[in-house]
Amino acid sequence: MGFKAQFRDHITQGYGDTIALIDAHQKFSYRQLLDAIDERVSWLAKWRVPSGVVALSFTPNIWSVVTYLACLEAKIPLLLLDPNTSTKLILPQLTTLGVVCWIKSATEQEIISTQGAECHPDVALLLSTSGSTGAAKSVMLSMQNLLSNAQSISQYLPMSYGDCGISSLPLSYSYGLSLLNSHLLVGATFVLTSEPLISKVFWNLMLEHNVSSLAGVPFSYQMLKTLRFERMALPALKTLTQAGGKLSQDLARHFYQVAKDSGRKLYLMYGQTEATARMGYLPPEYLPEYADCIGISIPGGTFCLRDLQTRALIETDYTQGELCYQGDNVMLGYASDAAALKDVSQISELTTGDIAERLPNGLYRIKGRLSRFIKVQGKRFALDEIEASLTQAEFGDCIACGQDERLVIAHLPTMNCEALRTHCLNVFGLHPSLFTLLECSSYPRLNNGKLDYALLLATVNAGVNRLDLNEQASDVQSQHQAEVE
Amino acid sequence: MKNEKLIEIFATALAIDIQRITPELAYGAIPEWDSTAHMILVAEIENQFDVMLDTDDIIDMSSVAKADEILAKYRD
Repeated sequence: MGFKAQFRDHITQGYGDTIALIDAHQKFSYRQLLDAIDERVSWLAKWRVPSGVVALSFTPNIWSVVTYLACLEAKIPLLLLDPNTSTKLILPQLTTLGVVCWIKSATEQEIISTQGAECHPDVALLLSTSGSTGAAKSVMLSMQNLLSNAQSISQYLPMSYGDCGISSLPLSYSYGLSLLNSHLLVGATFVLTSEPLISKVFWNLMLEHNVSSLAGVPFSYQMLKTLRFERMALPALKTLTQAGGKLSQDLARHFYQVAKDSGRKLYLMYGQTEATARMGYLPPEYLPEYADCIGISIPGGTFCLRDLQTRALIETDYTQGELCYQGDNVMLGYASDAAALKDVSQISELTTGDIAERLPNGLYRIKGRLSRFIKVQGKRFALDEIEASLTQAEFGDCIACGQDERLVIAHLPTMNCEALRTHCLNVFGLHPSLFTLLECSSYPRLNNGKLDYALLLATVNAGVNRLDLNEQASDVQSQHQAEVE
Repeated sequence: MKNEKLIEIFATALAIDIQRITPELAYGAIPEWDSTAHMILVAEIENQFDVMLDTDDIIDMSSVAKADEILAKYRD
């Protein structure tokens, strides 16, 4: 069972002439899409010698989507790449994963290796988890992962034939890909564009094609607010969805009101690439009171909480533990090299790295994060990878910490700050408003010798950009100390 | 172009040297002027000139000269 069988189903039910995909140049009905996939499968045969992973720069156009669907159909393991990532960052990843061919576009393909790595037959798709640090760790997903997640999403979101979505997020990103998959699964229409939210073309497409659902990460909602989204006339739009990190209380309240005033539904959602995309959502009727909750698990999935030490199940309300998830959308595992592609086994329970509690009404609320990563503009930045990358770039001993939407890099007084700023801008792709450099006389540590990340964060949040541990305790430090005690 | 305050806002929002801000500089022409920078630019312009830009003006602000032109409309 794959997408093709699903498309045949749409045709049988009389929706063969419904438009499946629209890009800047053409439109494909489900019938045309089915034929195009078959043709592309034969075309693909010449690029895979004799096995191994194929990489695709996933540009949002019909040609790329057909290629993606054809690879799934032909059981060719496919690595999806952001078309905007520089070749310099991509190439090491291709080599590490033993990619045989890199399909950049309809007219440009490149053979990377003539000896493909052996892959487990269940590996259908590889998605990158990291932001822009160029780390080659990929999440391995099966066909069942993709279909099951698309199925769940289409069950809890109001979507069916006649609806229309749009690629407001990159398709190589799990959330962006889930939009495409879920719309195709239900026989809806999907508009493919790389135009950003701030482009007139994007809003013209929204109007022209009667787009009924719009998806965004927290940063998208920040943009929509600046654009005075509430004043736009978009009569067909009925659903707003948000994932890719927690929406600030301020934005959640604003968009709850906007949705309410315009008769739309706002869905705040929770997920990870490790779960294909989606794990939970907040049913809109819980807004605005429970905007700080991730809600309940998606249909077919189950959340549970585990004690951090004993790993025992936590049954009582308001008790914090690690949030774990079970469902058919849990990944096959990570691949950091070609060898990992061979031996995979379905993971039964995903440990999310998030610390959460359950409310008496059954909603889950995130209280913190175990693993050291932050999300900036929906992209995940693993802090340890940031530190490793800075050391590799010869910036010496730096500490990366932060919170969502703000990376903090603590450094010693000897740092060349200009060079560090340039590195953050060019290599991590972070605008100066998204990171802060914090000069430390030395790095603060807790009694147990561990780095005191909380103090670094508290200092930055207090608007201070220098931490001198030799000076008398600053206000921030004493206040922080009082909170700890 | 004489609007020095606007040029400074551009330099801060795009995080580039002030010498590179020319009237012809356009959205998307340099990697620094992406959608993130554009949003920061809009927020800065609204703050510093104490105006509220219309949606159409925000998405029409495709070059430095155009921004100057749009801003003039609000300051009349």
